[in-house]
Amino acid sequence: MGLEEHLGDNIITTSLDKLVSWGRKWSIWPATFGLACCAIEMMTVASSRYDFDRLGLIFRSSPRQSDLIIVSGRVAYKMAPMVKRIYDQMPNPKWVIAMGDCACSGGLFNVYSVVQGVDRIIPVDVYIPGCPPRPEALIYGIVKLQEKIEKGTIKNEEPLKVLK
Amino acid sequence: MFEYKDFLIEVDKFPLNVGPSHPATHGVLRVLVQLDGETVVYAEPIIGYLHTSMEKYAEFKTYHQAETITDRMDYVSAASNNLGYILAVEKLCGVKAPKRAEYIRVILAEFTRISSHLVWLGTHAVDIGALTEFLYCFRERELILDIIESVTGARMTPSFYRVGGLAMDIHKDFVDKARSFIKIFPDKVDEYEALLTKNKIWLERTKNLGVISAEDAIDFALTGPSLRGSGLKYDVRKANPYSSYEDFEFDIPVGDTGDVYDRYLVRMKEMRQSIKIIGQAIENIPEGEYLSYDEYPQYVIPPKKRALTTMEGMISLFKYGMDGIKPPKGEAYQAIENPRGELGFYLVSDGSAFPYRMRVRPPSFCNISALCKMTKGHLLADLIAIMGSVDILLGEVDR
Amino acid sequence: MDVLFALSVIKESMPKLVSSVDTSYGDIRIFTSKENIIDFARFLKDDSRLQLNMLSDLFAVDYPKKSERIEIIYNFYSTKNNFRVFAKTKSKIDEPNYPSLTPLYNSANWFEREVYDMFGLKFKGHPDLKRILNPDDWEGHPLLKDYPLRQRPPVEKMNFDTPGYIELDEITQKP
Repeated sequence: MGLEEHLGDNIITTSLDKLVSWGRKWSIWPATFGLACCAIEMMTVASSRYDFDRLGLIFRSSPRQSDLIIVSGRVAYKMAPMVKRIYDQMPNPKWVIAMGDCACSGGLFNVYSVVQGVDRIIPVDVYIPGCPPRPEALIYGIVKLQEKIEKGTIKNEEPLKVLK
Repeated sequence: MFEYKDFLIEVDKFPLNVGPSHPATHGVLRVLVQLDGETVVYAEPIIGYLHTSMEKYAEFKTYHQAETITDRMDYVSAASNNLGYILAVEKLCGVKAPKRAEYIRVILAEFTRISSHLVWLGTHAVDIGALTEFLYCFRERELILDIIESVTGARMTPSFYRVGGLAMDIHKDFVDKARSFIKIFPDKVDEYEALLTKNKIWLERTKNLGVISAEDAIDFALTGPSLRGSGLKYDVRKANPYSSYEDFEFDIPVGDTGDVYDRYLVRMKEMRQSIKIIGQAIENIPEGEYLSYDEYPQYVIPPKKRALTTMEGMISLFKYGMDGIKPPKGEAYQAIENPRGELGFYLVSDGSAFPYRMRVRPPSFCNISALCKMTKGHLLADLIAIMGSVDILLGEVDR
Repeated sequence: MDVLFALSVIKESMPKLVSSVDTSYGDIRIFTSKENIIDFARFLKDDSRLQLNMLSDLFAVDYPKKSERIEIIYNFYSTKNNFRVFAKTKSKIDEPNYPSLTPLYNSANWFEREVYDMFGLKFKGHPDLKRILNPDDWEGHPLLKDYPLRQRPPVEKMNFDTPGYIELDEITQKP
């Protein structure tokens, strides 16, 4: 508006919120964390035909370097503490995608050994239904997450904290 | 305050935890390793992190509903699992599928064998450090999934078989697609092998690693490529042919030393053999019915066209949906050759519409139990290579 | 070689160990008793005519109405002769002396652990009998017929502080 008229095309003015969100939106690094069938579809998305990288998603092997965890598959009771631990190990800001029916709600497996939805353990941002969801569905979920990140603010954000 | 001795560790018995969330464990396997320096003294796989209680759940499903559970068991080769389960139910009912259905089942099962081996090859190569292989393998895997999807409607979880045949007939598009795939695929396998088979780094990382002799392999009940890599020619497709496998001509590739490299070679050759089987099957698909409804009306679903146009077909479909099928009392075992080994289904029927007990003889479960034997004395980095070469799938190990 | 030949060999040489035989659906199932199962398995493995060298599977079926409610089924396979023999025994759940086949077959190790986990049958002589699929502190044995399908512990009460490491003593005892 006012300022840009005087300074020309070389300068843009924006709010810090927008700048930070824009940066975060295009550099979501998911943790390499696969559980069951959906993990294979997750790998497919990372592979040649669908190519995750063009959205800025690069799989990181350590949770401490990543800011997205894609819970891809059923969470058994034996695994639940580990899922929570991996989530806790991730630095802020962090997001969670529940991929597939089993991670969303238990899905097909309403049985004794499966946690009925990963949202009982960790907070979930995007739910992707399907058994397993198609790769396109996962990409759509990522885009939805990007939209969510875009609207975020750093105003009330906690300082960077890594749990042991 | 800490003292200097607090930071000393006993190097000769250093415990290390690999997994359950580790990029190279192919899922949620945890391996407890005891190290002496960098050498593995003892490695114990701990499983159950994906336990889904499928054997229990199947007792609460009708015979056809339980088929969808077998999809999720070995999710990389679901059509193969379905085949084993459906054949076990057919054995229990005394139903035989028509020749046309059997051929189509073979085609789908062999396609999933290739796609499963491609997933194995891609991830195994990534674990050892060859990232390009992964992109190549998944490129062709997508083509296979397209073919499977075009006929079954699902990429990974088809549930396409029914007792006494198939859910529906195939169409011409499927045949064309399969033909064109057969044409291109052998060249692609050459491409994969060009990257690895004579690659010096690959040879260094795989030769003479994780050696298991044929006697030990039998003792641990290994099956599939893990057993054939040790030189034993056991393949259920040849030993006890099912679903018209006796009609096709194919070889069983075997290794000789039983190391990681041999298991790799066996799987590469198996992919070529699978293509050969698909080629023979697709050219010789017999004409005729895809469901043997006329022979066994009490067990087999009526074909869709007849169910929607004739009265008795409609009633039969309705009964089938409401009551399910009720096989006679008894127990039957059916083994098939899964990409990972001998997959067996032991079904116990009490005469009701629900299986009394469904026991799965899981190939991966047995294969991974030999990990302790295979890794002893090797370096920690080689543990990853050995683990990859066994080709386990945790969904099936834990069920 | 034929399966029925195997049956005749077993019946000839070990008449005492065979209580009854079921040959439906093309397989042979031989009923024997839990006291004799080790002798029986050793005979199947060592006999030169049979050579059932692989214990392909071992599992159990629960019949809650019977007095000896657990039926254990052994699946022996011969890679040399290409035939399969099923052996069956019966046992109570709290049977203290149920013999383990681990001295004969390595594959029995994990199968028996699974039967213990799912049915609660304790194998005597097993080197490392503990739960395999369910967590160590799980209550009940899920594949028993009286275990409800949906009996889940509440998530709120779950212990999320499970250590990710293992104490040294736990693994140094092993070979």
